[in-house]
Amino acid sequence: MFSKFFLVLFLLISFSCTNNTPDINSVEPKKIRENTLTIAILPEQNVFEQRKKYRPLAEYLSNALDMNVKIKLLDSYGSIYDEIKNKTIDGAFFGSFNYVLTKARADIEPIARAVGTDGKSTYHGLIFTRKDTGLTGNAKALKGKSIALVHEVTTAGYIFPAWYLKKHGVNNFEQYFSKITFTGSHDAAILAVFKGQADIGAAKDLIYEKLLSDNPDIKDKLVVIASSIEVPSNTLCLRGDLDPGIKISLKEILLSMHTSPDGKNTLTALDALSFKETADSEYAELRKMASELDLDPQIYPFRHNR
Amino acid sequence: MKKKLITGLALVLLIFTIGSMVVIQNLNTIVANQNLINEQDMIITMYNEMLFQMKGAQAELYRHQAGYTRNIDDLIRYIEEFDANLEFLPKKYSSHLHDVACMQCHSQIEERLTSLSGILSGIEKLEKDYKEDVSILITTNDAIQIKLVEDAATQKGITMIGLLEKARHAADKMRSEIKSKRNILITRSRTLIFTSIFVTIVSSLIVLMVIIRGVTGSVNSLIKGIQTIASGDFSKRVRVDTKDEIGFMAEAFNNMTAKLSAMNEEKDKLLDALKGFNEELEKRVKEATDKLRLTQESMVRAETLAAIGTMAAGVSHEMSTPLNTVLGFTQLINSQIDGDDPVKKDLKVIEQEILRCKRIVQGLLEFARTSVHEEKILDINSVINETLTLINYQHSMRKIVVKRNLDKDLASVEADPANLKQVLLNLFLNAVQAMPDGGELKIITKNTGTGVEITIADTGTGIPNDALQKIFQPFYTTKKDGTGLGLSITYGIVKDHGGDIYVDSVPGKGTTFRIIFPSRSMLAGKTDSSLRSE
Repeated sequence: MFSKFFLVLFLLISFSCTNNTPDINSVEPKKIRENTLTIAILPEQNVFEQRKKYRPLAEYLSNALDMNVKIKLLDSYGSIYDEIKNKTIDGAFFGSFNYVLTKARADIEPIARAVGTDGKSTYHGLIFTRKDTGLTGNAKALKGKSIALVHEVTTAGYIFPAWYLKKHGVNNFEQYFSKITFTGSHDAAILAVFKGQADIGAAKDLIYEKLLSDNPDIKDKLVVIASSIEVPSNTLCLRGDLDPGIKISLKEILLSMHTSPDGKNTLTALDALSFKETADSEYAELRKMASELDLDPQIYPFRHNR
Repeated sequence: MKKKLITGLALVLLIFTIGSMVVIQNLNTIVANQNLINEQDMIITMYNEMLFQMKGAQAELYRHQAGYTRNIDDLIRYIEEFDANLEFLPKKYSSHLHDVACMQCHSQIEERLTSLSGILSGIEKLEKDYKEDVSILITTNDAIQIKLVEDAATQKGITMIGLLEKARHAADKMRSEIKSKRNILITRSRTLIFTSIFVTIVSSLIVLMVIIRGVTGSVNSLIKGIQTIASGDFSKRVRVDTKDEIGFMAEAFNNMTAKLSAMNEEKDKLLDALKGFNEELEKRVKEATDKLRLTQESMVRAETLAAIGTMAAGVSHEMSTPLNTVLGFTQLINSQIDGDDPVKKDLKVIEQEILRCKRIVQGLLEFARTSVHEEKILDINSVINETLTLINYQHSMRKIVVKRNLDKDLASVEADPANLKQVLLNLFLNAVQAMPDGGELKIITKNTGTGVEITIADTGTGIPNDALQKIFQPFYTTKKDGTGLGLSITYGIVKDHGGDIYVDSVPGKGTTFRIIFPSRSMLAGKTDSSLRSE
């Protein structure tokens, strides 16, 4: 009887005096790597969303390549060529038309691009408007309207609407509208139309669908009036002068990413299922479109002073 | 005792444990409060960082728009860090609730967080729009849009800075309140620790005193009991009301005492019995010794009497012839001389003295004569009356009152009537002689169960003590003309009849003789008789 009483007493005292010491060894030391691979991304949507989206990829590649992989967000579609030329970046996720322009003037090598959750690795350029404008794909009706574009070096945000109007007999694209706003990103162009800052807009379908799915009020207001041919989605290209070993390794890592759990998590952040190899030939249709617009990739300016 | 010690120890430990647990509970609360303060410090630091980041972002934004830089990394970094802090803040606040176990504190903090959540959600919404604006500002080339968005972003930035300062102020206030609460708890805990120590010490002392008192009280009671028993008092019992070892010892001791008491009582009874037996034995030894001594004295006396008797018989036999011759010649001479002859008077004296000598000789012959009883069945009362008749005519009896108290149912005895009369006559005459001036002669007879007792009491001069032991000896007399043989003859006759004679005398007041004769029935079985004087 008494021995039991003392046992309970001892346990009470023991538990009362238990100190929860934190495990100081639970944090792993950060690994320091010597080499850095800088990959640029275009501001095709909100820059903060872009960085958030690509940060897991940078971490994954850093671990896989055992080197620092840094993501650099560019403030303009036009600056990517300068960065490649100045070798301040080692590679970038090129927009399709940006690739065509840069490839024509610099040594870059396409590696791979993401396959979206819908299984597609291409995108369409869209021309859209608010439902209340009553506008349709009729090019004549668009005359004198305000338009929100992305940038002069984007397929969906400039080339496709220009090509579309040209196909419908409009040669003076920029003079055809009462106002052209270059928003700098696809989502900004969509928002500009949504907010009434422009009557129509042009952007890629991937951003358009994502934005509309996240914002039902936008979805209710906007309507697509024209869609382009399929062009390869943003492709990771590396400078041609980089170590071939790195290029091969990076391609292998990207192409096998979907096979590992960490890789899958990284792909999820990118809204992708996997990476697929990109070939230069996949841009033939886009080059043809540029040609029909009488654009020479070798001299077409990355920046337009307006 | 063991149980008492364990219970006392357990009680002290229990008090100490309760005190310790309360103190530990308070310490936990203090630690929790300190954690809250630390978290508040961190939150305030975060607010400061966010203010710095937002102000930095505003400055970078201006620099970017003013064309001072095309590098948007710092701007993005400021806003991203701001964003991270903003995302982390609610988690930090919610960890407050995990740190607080007290329900009241929990609800208070929850209430505060609810009010803060309005500010935070406002900042979040503004920050989301701000990021969109900044994103557009970074990427667009449209001057009008830039201007619109720039104004909007700047305004949002200013609003956010205002809200952040408000939230920081609220956090600072909360931190101050928690600090003061923590300080109160520290003071309370300090008091509680001292109180616990004091209570533990006091309770330990009380328990110790109770145990010591219990132990010493019981032991003292036991020792007292042992001392009482040792002094021989077996009636006392040790009173120990405890159920411990001492209680068991006391119970065993009491059982032992009860057994000892019973044994002692038995011993006392045996001792009493032994004492009674000893007293009886002593009494019997004394009686036997007295009897032996009396018998010895009697035997000596008997032998003396026998020797005197033998000598007296010889002397009287040898003396009677010459005395008769002298008497004959004296009477002859007296008859031959004249009546007026002066010798005749002398011869008369001679004749009287010779006759007196003859009586002495006769008395000696009687004393020495071998008893030849002619015993008959007698009524002693009748013999007494007859003997009294013989002396009633004496001159000296006139002054004496005779009182008779004779038992009518007196048992008869077997005795020689002449001897019995001589005994009574001797005693009556002695009594009469002891009362020359008159007195009272009392004669009493009664049955004693084994015989007949005759008491003859006078109120005469009495016998001195030194003479009392010698009165039955032959020739001892206090009278001038006595022969000293009367009581010796009386003694011899009583003895010859198997009886006893006792004398009791007080000088100046009188003498009492008691004669006991065995009754007929007793006489048949009695072979010996004893003589006794008192």
